[in-house]
Amino acid sequence: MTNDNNSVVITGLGAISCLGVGPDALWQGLLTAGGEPVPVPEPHLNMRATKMYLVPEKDVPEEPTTLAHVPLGAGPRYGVAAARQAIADAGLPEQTVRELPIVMGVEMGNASQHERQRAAHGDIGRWTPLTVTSAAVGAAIGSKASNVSVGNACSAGGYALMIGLDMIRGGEADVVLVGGAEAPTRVGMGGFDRLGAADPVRCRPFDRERRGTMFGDGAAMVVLESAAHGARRGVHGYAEFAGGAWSCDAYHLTAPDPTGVQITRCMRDALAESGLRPDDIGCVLPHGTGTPLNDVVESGALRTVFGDACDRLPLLSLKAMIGHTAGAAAVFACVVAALSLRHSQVPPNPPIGQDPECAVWVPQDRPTPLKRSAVLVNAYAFGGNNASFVLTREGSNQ
Amino acid sequence: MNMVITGLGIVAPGVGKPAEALAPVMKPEPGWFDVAATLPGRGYKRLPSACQYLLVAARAAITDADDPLSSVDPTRRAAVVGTNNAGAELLEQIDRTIIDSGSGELSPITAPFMAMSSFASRLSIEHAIQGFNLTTNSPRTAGLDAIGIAVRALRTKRADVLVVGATEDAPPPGQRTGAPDVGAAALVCEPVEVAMARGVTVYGTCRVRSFFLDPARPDTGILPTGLAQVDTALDDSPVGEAVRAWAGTHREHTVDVDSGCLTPMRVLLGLLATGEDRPVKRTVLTASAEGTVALAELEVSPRNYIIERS
Repeated sequence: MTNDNNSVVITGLGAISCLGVGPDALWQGLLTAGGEPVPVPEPHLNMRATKMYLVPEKDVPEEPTTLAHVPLGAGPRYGVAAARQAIADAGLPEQTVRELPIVMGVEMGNASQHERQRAAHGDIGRWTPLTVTSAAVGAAIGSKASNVSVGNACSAGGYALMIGLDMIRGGEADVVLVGGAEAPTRVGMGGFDRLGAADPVRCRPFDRERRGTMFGDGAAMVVLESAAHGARRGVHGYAEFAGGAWSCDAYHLTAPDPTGVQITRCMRDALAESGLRPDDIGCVLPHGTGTPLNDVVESGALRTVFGDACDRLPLLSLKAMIGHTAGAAAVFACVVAALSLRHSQVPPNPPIGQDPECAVWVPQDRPTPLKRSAVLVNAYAFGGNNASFVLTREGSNQ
Repeated sequence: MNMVITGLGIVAPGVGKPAEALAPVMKPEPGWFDVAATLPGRGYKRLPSACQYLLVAARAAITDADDPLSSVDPTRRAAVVGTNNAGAELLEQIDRTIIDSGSGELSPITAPFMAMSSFASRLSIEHAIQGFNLTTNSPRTAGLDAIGIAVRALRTKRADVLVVGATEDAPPPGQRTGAPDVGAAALVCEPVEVAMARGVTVYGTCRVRSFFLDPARPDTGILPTGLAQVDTALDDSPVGEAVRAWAGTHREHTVDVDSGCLTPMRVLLGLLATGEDRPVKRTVLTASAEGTVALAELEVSPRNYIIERS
């Protein structure tokens, strides 16, 4: 492990997804074609697209059921379960957990619980905020430290990760727990349906037949730790969180800027902060939602950043296998990027009939060797809220 | 790099300017906010109310700061906005429409605001803010969290100037008990060197720390000591009562809060806007029933304070 004071490493992972419980289940599921969408078992789904990539019912945690006066739905419970996995994986001692800051990317939060009560004509009563997931995690693990929830829609997890990075680099903390968690919501599904951004068949980024995105649920959590602190504990990290960047299109509430100028800048700034060049990157986990314009714009921006190397740069289209997990999506991508670096391979993408307007390489059929020691992740959202970050193999970025 | 606050703006029932922000929170009376008068022009009338409030408060803060955005490249401008309830009632309306009529009946104008980050995103579109746009949403503490993130972003050079705010609308009718947070507050934050070079009024500086208390067993022993006079914005939850008791010996005055993250920001703005003839230190402390706690430590500048080059 590096002892660079500025280095931040990932020392713990947690995940619960349609592929099961734990990072290993996620990884093995990705190696075997990923998940399949299923009908969402909620009432009143009066819309065209009614499927999601759902956590299997047997894997939905039953606890915790409440936080203060707030009944908790699946989203916060996913967050708690994944947080416990990540903490155990990192081997954090009890005292460190008590002092562990938490930053979570959560958009819809506990909305599924509100919707269930609404559909049952139940009275929620006193003020019951939507985004209580990070607080639920804090209470469950016994942290007394800073607890911040950010809601940048589908890129929220990317913002949460970089806040955690900056907290460690700025000396505010040695270790930060970062994550995202979401559950099915009628409002989220119906809103995307109304905006023509929901695919009723499956999530199929870069496919010529794609018709929008399809949500998935679950939670992903990572333990970010200063390399020096990790070294003192004698732990081996999955990867180094080398750097990242943010940008904003400031263009439209729902559509990406078709020029891709700001997402291009974001990727370049992330590479620069990481001290890397485009040809250092061995794989990209794109935002890749399956919405027609997003995939074209992102493909173009990748082409601008990586040039003809795009023909040989493997993309891992994660949302095609676990759905679009909204505020948690970037943290899921972080977990998978870390596992790809650990295993030195990129899982195969599901078969697609590739859109010629998306001139990127989406390798299918079999895993692709990860030939370089860095992975780039993109996360975009409504409002053009963009984040890109880079993970590297530990010690490779010296 | 030290952050200073150079612009203030506020929109709230019964509050006409930042210096009035310390007034008790009032229930909004019908017609208290005139969108046609405050946001003339096309494209504003059909925005959700909390988006309108945010746009007006931010404009006021930017104007108050003598428009620092105009001299900063759009890619170096940023916005951080806290909210809990900006779209909460809208979400309920959207859900009711889906249940009763189907998603095809949703308004394509308001549907994007199901994502509460869309409120701040509209602000970034308004002012060509391309550095980044970030929404915080922790219960009660989201506004103060936004300031903390802004301070960090200046320190890490992720932006050169930030519009920081909080915006709220009332929660859905079934969740209302008292006077809800309604309105918006905004600050302009920039490096002290830039404010000095621009020769603008500096209201003060601020740093934010946050903590977490288990709602089932709120142990205030973890909270820091040695704070300046404390102004609290607290509810009657077990966490709120525990923090109120803890702050007892430090407390200057307290504001009872109902819902949302605006009131702590109101208190902070009010303190900054009513500076004395000497620098003073103050603390704004808030906490949620769900356990989040944030405190903002202010150094309030003397009134009409302009930092001169030494």
